[in-house]
Amino acid sequence: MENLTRLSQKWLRLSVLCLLAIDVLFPVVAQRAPDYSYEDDYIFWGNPSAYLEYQAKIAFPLIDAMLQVHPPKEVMNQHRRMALVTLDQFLHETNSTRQAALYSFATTRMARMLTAMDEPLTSGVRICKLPNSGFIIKSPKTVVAVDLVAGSYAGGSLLSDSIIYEILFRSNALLITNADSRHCNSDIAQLFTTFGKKVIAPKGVLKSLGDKVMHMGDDYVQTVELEGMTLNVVPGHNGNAANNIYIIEFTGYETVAHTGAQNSDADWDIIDLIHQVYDVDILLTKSQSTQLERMIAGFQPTKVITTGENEMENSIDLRESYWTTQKRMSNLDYLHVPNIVMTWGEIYDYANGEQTDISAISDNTSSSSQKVFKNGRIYIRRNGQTYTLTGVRVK
Amino acid sequence: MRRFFLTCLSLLSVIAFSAAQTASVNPNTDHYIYQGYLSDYKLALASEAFASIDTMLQTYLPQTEILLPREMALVSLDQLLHDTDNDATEPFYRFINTRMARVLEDLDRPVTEGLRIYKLYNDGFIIKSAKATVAIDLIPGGSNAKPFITDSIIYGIAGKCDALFISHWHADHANLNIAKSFAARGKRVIAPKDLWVDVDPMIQPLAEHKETDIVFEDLDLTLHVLPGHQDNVYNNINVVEFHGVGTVAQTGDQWYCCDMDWIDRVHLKYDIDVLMPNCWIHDMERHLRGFAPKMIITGHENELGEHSIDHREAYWITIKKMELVSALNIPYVLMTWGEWYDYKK
Repeated sequence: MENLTRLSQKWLRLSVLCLLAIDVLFPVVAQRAPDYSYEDDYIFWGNPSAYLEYQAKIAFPLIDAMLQVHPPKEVMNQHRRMALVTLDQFLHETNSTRQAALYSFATTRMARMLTAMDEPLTSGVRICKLPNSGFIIKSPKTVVAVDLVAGSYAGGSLLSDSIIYEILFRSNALLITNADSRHCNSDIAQLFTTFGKKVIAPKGVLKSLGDKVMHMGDDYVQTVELEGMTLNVVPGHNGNAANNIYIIEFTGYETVAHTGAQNSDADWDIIDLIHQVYDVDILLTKSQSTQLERMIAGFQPTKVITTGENEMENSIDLRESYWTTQKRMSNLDYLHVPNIVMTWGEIYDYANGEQTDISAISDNTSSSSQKVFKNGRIYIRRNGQTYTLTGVRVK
Repeated sequence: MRRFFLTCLSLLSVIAFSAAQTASVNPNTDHYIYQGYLSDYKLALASEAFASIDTMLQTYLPQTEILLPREMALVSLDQLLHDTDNDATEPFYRFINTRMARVLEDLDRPVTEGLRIYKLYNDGFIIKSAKATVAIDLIPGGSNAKPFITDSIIYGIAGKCDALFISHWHADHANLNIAKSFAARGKRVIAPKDLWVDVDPMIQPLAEHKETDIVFEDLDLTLHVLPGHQDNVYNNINVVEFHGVGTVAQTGDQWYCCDMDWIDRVHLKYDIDVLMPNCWIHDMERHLRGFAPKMIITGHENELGEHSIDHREAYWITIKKMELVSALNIPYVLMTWGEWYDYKK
């Protein structure tokens, strides 16, 4: 009897051990082999997160390729519209697992932009778009960065430190419109001052940097002469916070204005009259405003380039899309002020009232690894495939 | 008593607040500003994206070479269709019905040479020759209460077809109401064994799940049914031979390793022009070798409804899978819903 009890206990123990073993081993068996890659069969069953991550890896280079083939122009074609609305889709996701693909996208485009930016400019201005409301504006005599920030996303930065440094080295000055972190970064401002670059900010902003920063913006328009430009500072507001509107007259060349996060009704008296005093060629302004018409009427620029799309720090409903910008600008077609919707890492060359040949710059001078020159023709390489500029896959 | 009143008051407040939230209308819609109206924003984004995709796909039609803009449009569509917030929304219904309405219209356009192959939701196809129009796995999608494709469109399409072939009983392939609409017009429906037995004389399930030839003299075609499986489910592989024009094969949800021995030899018996495999078929390469088609058009991408997003097979996945078998040098055409391709031998 005792033996039987011992035997049954032994079996019970063995059974429990077997069950434990099955419990532990089964998930292991169910998983893929350690050396498995999704590229073996592209089956993502049971792993939606991996699927979406891979989809982002596929989509961002496609978007990038489309945008290279169809650079910013006043009249947006359907190809560029397609690429931008797809980008809007991906940038209105919140899942951080797609961060790697987004970071790679942003970095690739910035690197390409910096290369193109270095091409000599003999007339006009070259406008390079950065995340949020950031721009680099280059004339033949000077380069100025406006609202340069790294842009945050899921705890990381869109622009790497090295890209910030590359921009810094190319710039003569940094203009900051307001204190909001989507426009102003004290570390970047400090870097500029450390390297002897001018930093201009509204009063009360970047106090910690003391007199290393030129604080401007008061109850009246202030003007200062800087290297290669005359800077006019219009004292605007974002709510109650100071927001400098910069009107940059590039000496001997065009005039570009940047409105930062301007949204206060208290400033319309000044803004309404700006066109009577300044001859603004290009207005850089947020389109996300119910008063956009009045803003454009106040400046009466030759062209508008919108700012502030897809600020990744914002909640999705606040994260301005490229397609909403297009719609909003279409609503104002009757003003007959052409507009250009740009995305990160794009450049727009402007001289004598017209866009100069942007495609010639982006296609012929970029040293990007994604461009291939073969038999005197330019091709785009991505995912191991070669395409013509019109999108035909080359075998 | 006081507690009762307080509870009632709280409940009323919650209800009133919820009602106000539901009823609130974005005052800035005209300015395309959606602050605080996330679902409105997502609907508007989907609407814009679907429209843009549709425009691009109409410009870059299906062909054996996928151009960058078309690939972009398909990946954009993948992204939309893998965001479950877009399921069963008005922009989605508009997109799919707009495209299916084009099929309905195009079915009136005569085919003078070869075969015109229409791709439908979900794994559905219509193949039209000069003499016959046959549908395979034609369904409206969605639920009975809210089908993806409106009755007027799906029954309009059904009304222009001469026969319906069903691969297997799963709801994403077989719809009894559609089958009955064929039968009501005196059109034959060929179904797998045991499906819709004794429903209507024109609805004809196979007597045995075995290789079967069915001649349609009036349509000048022969249907060769090959006895496939999806695991244990009978799955007819429908090989449609349009006499003197071409032969197409649709694999339904073929997924069964034990059929591979005879699938390996299909090409010895049938001269397949176009193979329409389910895009997630297991061992695509072996199936392609077995059928040895002259062209491939995959089906079943982006199956919505109950499928979780990891198994809503994306168009980009098909592109990648076809790259894996590119050594076979069989041209393939990647199509989405509401498109067609003219095949000539």
